[in-house]
Amino acid sequence: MNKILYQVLDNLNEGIVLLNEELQIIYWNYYMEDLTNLKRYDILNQPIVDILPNFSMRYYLDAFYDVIEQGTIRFFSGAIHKQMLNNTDHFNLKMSRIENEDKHFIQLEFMNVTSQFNQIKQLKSYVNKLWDTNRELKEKEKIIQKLAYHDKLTGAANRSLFYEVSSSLLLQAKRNKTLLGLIFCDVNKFKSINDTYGHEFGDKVLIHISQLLEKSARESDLVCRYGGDEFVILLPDMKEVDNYNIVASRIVKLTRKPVKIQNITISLSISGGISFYPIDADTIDQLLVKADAAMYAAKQRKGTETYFYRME
Amino acid sequence: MGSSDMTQDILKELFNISVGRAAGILSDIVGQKIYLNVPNVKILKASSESYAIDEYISMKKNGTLMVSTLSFKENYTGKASLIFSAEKMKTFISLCLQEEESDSDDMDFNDVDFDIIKEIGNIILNCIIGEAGNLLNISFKYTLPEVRLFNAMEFKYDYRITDTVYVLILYITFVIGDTEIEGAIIVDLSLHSLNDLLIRIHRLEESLYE
Repeated sequence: MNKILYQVLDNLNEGIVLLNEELQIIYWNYYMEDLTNLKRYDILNQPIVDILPNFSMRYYLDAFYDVIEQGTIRFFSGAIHKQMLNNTDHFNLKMSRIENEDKHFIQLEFMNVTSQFNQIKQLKSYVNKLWDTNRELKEKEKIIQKLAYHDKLTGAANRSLFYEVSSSLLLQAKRNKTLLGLIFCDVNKFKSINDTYGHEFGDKVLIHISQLLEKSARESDLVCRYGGDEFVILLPDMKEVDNYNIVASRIVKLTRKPVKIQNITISLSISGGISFYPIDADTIDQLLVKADAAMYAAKQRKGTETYFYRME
Repeated sequence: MGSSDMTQDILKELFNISVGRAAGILSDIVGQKIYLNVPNVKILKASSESYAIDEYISMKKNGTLMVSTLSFKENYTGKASLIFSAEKMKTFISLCLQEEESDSDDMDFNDVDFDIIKEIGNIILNCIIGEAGNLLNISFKYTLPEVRLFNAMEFKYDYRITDTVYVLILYITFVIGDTEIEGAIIVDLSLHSLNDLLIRIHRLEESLYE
């Protein structure tokens, strides 16, 4: 019978080791021989800690003691105990007690889980790749969205974004019974700047003006490049008409000194017209027309310095 | 102090010694200091009272529980389960393996994760049941824990449909690094088994008064 049982243990596809109470090896199956290159006849009756030095760690010795004394079953996972038998494979280990003729023995079962580890590693690598691809796609989506709603040269909002935002701000102003201001402005003598210094320089001027307007606007305002050298600023939640002066005076201040662009020092000025919902018009298009007309009136009054005008 | 308070205090003392030992073993294994504490122990009638697990284990309302369950064999029938919020266990697994936690917030666990929880459940439940058995002079025989994931609601239901009359609940706090994890251990013994256990604790109580 013993012979049959030993053959069964030798046929198992997992490592089986039996220890006596002195922790000496009394059985070592074929699987263990293959795995460790240690033949059972060379190691029988030797202490397990001499053959597998990792098992001299305190928690293994404590576990042997618990299994022998209390008959508890212990489990060690290959994930935490990485080099249980060798440096390449991963094993789960189950320790349990066997009783025979008032003697206690420890059965060690080493279950090879290396293929599970490899599959999980591969899956994790796929998941990480997918995660990265997804992140890249989201970033690209943001860029596409920015391109669709922002001016390529200056980075300011474009007309599409202006119309989307302005209609919702108009609704909000109607609902909350507040003023919505709209400044229409352009760069004085921009055509002559372009003709004198070239289009590349003109582009740099537009970038500078766009940044200057952004700096002057409040956080809730929207600065939009409407076309050419024309910019529109939406001013939501205005309590009084005169409050637009906060933004206008900042623009005046920032255009007071000449600027240096591409090593050329130049004085820049802006003319602007302003209109308000609901005082001047009810629709965005009407507000634009009114503000545009006010801008031309401003230009006629002071065409070479920064000046804002509202038609009464 | 009433007799049941005294019983619960003895159990609390007993189980704090046990989890202290489990914490020592776990600290050795993962190479990081781990603290375990049992702040409260309750004996509840399963049919009439709520286990209030989700009140103690901080988790989302429809959260997932990770449950390691062992079954008693031979003289004692029933089960003992170690319960933690699955979300927190994900952090714990990463801390054990000293790996960075992945950015994704999925609750997928692989076989390797389950094995880690099985080992932890094995250590904690072994210490609790083994040392309780030692002190009470009872030899419990039981299986290795099986690890399963439950929806918090399902888990309550799963226990309520068993014919268990009394359950022993240990609230347990697990601290590793800066992470604190609350969990619970439910010892679900048959009436006969629990009576036997309580009689032995009463004997311990009496010996304290002698």
